[in-house]
Amino acid sequence: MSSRPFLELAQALEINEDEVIERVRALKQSGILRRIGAVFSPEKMGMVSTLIALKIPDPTQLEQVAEEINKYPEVTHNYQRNHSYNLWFTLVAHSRERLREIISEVKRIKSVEDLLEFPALRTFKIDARFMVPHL
Amino acid sequence: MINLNEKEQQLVKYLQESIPLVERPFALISEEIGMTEESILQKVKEWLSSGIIRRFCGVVNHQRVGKVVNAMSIWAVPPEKIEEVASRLSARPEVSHCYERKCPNNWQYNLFAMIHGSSEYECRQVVEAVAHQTGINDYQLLFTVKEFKKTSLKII
Repeated sequence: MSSRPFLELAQALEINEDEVIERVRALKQSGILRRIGAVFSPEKMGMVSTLIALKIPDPTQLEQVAEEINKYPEVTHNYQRNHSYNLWFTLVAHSRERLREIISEVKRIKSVEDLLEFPALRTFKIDARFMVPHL
Repeated sequence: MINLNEKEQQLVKYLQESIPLVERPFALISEEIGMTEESILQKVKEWLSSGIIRRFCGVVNHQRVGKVVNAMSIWAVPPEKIEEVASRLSARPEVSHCYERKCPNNWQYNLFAMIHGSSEYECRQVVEAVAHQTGINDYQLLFTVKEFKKTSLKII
């Protein structure tokens, strides 16, 4: 950690600090770079998380269920997948009680035939670093 | 939740978004929250070493760098082979996350690995290679049909 992070990057890249900041700004503006900041550990912050799969047999209802799920700020990722359990989302909450509460509310959504929960037991890899090809 | 004082909560709010793109980003944040630049840097270092902050980094949009296909691979692995299969999967650069998960009844897939590639073919090649290496052939690839939400965690 440095008070002049872009200067350190500039020295490593052998260009000047202004240019680094300018280029980072351009990457951010174009959407390639989402943000520069801290990645907090929910577990270390005392939060609890889980993965949920829903079976929504009627495909015309999927979008609406997805929208209802997205309303929870505790939902961080939500994807339609090619499986009979066709909607998968991750929940990160401040307490186990809150997780249970959300899960029981989601179970009551009419088009949801079944809900499966997959809490993590062990983490083997987290936060990939990608090789970025030439753009 | 761990206890954070008011200034620390403010700091978390700034750090979980994006630092300002200026020469001294932490000095700018310090003006906003009334902590000195030095104490902010000290706090971040402390959180990094205790693991509260996993990494301080740039977060790239996968799609925008050509990783347009993402799949969740799920594997049915006997307990004694989990570590081997997980380490094979984790060694692949295309795999971003790998977890052993507790399964409900009637669900045999206990190892989950997220795969990012430029094509479905590339994703399939990754899992076929790992299946070949480990002899675990009971697996499925669940491709993303639609992304409804993808956000970074907001602690506060």
